[in-house]
Amino acid sequence: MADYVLQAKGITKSFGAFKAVDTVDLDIEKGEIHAMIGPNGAGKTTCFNLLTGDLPLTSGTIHLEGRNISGMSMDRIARRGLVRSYQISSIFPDFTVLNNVRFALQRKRGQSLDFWRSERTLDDLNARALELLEDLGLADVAGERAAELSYGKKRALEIATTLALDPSVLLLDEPTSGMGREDIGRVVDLIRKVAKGRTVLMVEHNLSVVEGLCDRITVLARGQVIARGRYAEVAKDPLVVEAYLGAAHA
Amino acid sequence: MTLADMKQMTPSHPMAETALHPLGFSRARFILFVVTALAVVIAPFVLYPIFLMKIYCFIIFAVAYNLLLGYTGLMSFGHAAFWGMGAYLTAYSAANWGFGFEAALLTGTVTGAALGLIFGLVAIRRTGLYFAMITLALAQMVYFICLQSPFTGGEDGVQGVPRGSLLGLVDLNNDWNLYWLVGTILLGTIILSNRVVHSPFGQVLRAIRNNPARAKSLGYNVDRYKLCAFVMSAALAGFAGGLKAIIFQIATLTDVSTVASTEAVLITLVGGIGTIFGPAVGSIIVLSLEHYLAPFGPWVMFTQGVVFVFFVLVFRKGLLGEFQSYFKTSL
Ligand SMILES: Nc1ncnc2c1ncn2[C@@H]1O[C@H](COP(=O)(O)OP(=O)(O)O)[C@@H](O)[C@H]1O
Ligand SMILES: [Mg+2]
Repeated sequence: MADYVLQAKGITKSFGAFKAVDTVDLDIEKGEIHAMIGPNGAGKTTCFNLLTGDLPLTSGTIHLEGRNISGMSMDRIARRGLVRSYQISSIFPDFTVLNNVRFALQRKRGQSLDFWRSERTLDDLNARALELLEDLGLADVAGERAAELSYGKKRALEIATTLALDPSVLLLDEPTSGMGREDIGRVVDLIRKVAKGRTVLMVEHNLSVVEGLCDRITVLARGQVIARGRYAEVAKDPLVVEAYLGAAHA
Repeated sequence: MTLADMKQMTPSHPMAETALHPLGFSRARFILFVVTALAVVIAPFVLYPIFLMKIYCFIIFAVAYNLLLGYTGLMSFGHAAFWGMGAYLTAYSAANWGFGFEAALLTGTVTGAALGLIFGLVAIRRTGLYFAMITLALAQMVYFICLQSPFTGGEDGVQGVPRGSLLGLVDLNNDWNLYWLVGTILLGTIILSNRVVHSPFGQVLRAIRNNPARAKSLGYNVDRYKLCAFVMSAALAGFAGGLKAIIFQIATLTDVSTVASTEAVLITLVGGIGTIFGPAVGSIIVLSLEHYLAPFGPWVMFTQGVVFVFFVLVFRKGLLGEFQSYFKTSL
């Protein structure tokens, strides 16, 4: 058996009678960059929600580094090293940009129950937080309120916050959506850089990004896996072509 | 701006002040603290000490409430249970078990905390209106128990509570002695609340208020933090209720009724949720209105309603909340 970091078996999510994710298997190898693609509404985000514990499974099992994490709470799964960014940016709007990232670093360090210490004790995390902001081109807005950022910068901030936790498995839900060409280049370079020593699973619509970045891909349509493998092989698969064209015509 | 410059800069809050002042206050908050301290010293020469002490107890109660609503984003409608049971147990232990001032107050505080733990364990997984409704329902149950059980003295309440003395040294039957003690406790509570809110723990609470789902997905055990905040808030509310029982030497059903919960909500909203000094401002306004309108009987309720609506419409963030936005500094 290959060295799978993240393994899902038959995971299913029903919303009433509708199966958004229907008996999906996933085998994510250690150290790879894996893309999940598929038309809108295919169930990619829901799949992520199941892997991270955002949503409870209807059925199926998930193993992270060989341990069964099915049914575990989201925060416990995160503490085990599986952390995500969201398709719809999830930030702390009233915090400064710097404090958004610092808040993640604070969790890694512990001591978050300290209510008798000054929050200035967190200031020694600022340098690391700024490094992460630099990586995402956000250093010059570090002191701004996060709510004031543009759409693209909010996405970048969320990625910085996610990376701050130094996760062993990184889940990115459409990290480049809404970004300009220059920012996309930056994020792609960054993902390549941070992927060293960890595993990345990402949803990505931009196929040139997928082609340049990812080792293997899984294609989802109507809640089911319709193809998986290397990009070059999968791109030729008639089922995949049809799913994409079908969606484009719909 | 260079990276070195950025590292010098330490914005720890959207409205950050760089210099740190004594007792962990920012400059703006330190000024407000000095003003408060001066007011505490001067006020008893102008107004009745007993009335002032009542205001101070409600400030402490509202500080407790604000820790939840203002900093954690949890709306409780059941704080009367902690305040009222804190009052009852302080009063009862002082009157019937011969507990001294400190032991009686500690009993009230522990009662608040224990009840808070029970409420919290039941309600903490719910959010928004469901959370508020569960706390209200539990508080109504506590009220019912108080109404039925003999230890509360029914309609009469627990009367004749001895004030005792501070550490066996200072006689608290003297209103002035008691006043200076309560004034000191008030200032201590404000320092403590500033400390908690602007600590690493407070940072987590504010993050939870901002975006609980993200706090959770970053690995924070959100329910546990909420529960901690809830128990802290309940303990402080129990303490405030106990203090009030000692000052007035009585604990009654009113303390444990929805009237008290409403008071906490009203004071916090009028003063400004999520501000350290909002509870003080709110208590002064709300209790003064009640006090000076008392001769007009039922009009108190009406005027209270008008004030409440006025504040919600004109000062959406409460008085200090509006100042806070205007001066771009956290108060
Ligand atoms: N909470 C929910 N309740 C009901 N239906 C949902 C919910 N979340 C997603 N869905 C449905 O599940 C399907 C898959 O959604 P999603 O996972 O967001 O797709 P994708 O990310 O691939 O675009 C969609 O049809 C969507 O409407
Ligand atoms: Mg999606």
